[in-house]
Amino acid sequence: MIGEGFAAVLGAAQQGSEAAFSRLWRDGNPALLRYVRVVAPEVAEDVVAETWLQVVRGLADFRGDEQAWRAWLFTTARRRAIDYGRRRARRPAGALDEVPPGLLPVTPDAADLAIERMGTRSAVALLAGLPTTQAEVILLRVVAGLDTETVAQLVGRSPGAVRVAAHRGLRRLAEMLAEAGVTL
Amino acid sequence: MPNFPWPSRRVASVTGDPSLAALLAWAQFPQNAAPEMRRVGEILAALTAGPADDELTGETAALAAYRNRPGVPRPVRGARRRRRRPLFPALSAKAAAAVAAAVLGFAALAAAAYTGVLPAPVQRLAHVIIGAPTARGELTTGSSQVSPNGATGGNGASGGNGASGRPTGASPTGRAHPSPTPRATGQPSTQSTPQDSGQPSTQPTPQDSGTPTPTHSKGKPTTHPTPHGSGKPTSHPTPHQ
Repeated sequence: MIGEGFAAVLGAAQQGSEAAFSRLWRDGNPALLRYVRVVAPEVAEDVVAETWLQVVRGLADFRGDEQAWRAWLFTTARRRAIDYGRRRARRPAGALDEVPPGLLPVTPDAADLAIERMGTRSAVALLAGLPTTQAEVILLRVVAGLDTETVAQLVGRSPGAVRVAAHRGLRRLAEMLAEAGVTL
Repeated sequence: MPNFPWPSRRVASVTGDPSLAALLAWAQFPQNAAPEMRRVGEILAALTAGPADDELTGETAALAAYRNRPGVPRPVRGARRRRRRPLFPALSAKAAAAVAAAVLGFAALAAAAYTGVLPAPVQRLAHVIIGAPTARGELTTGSSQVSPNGATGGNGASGGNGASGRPTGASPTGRAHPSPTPRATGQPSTQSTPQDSGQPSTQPTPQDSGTPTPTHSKGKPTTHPTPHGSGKPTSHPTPHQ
């Protein structure tokens, strides 16, 4: 989060300052990647790149504070991720038995990652083991820093449903860690 | 029976944990929280950690997109280009060539007109427009040249106005008479009556119909001035023989 200087940074970026835009990008891109790596893990980098392209196109017309800015960023990323999911669903999928075992993706177990090193990627992988709605809500609340009402608008649910999904996700996360025997 | 939207006991139990709310609000994590919640807190802390190296790899592409975003003029190169070409910025090369050709053609025409080698109609036109010499064989006497309508270009000394041949009111004695007679009908009266003073009145009256009919005028007064315009005959009539 940029904080109090956000308005000045945003204004400079809208006027053409590359340094200001770079600051916005450095502040927003890691959070965007962590979010998209959960909701669209296979195309996360592409989705985030397209998100910034769209943000650049609409940057001059954006009005709002930092909360609105982050809400816009993540709303754009979510829509791009949904578009990618639709495109992927239209493609014919082959059966996994026809794919040689060497070409199959190897996904490390989330609990193993958590035991090995509790880094950011490990935490993202652990969250990816949650149901999608719960993981998405937790990421939007914690990583994006959005309040419950904004998250509710973003995902198209009521604020109460968002609270319930977030709390259930956190409980489920605690259960996963207890099952894996992770001690910090 | 109305259906009241009371929260169910299960939802209340899920959202009632203050440690979960504190985790999500990321404000004051309770110190007396359960150990599993502490582990969850550590995971959420890892989610909000500083950027890793692989999370900042796309900055160059994003900056390139930012530089090339639509609707933004190029800051330096465009300004220099504008400064170098301050004249006729909207003229294309074709338009500039057409203008140059037109200017050259007009200059050649003017030179030919001043040397008098143009055909007579064109030369006359050049004479009227740019003051070139008249065509050969035409009258070149300055202000008294014959105009196309045939009127002489005099300045009124001959009694006409130079255009319509109407008398300008100059009396034979050289004095103007601005007070016409009440009986004037708009036509210049040039005949002397026994009652008048012998001075011909050529001025139209205020009751003039507005349609001048210069029946007697062709640029000259119909009455000749006399050396003594006093209204008295200069010589006594002689009896007819």
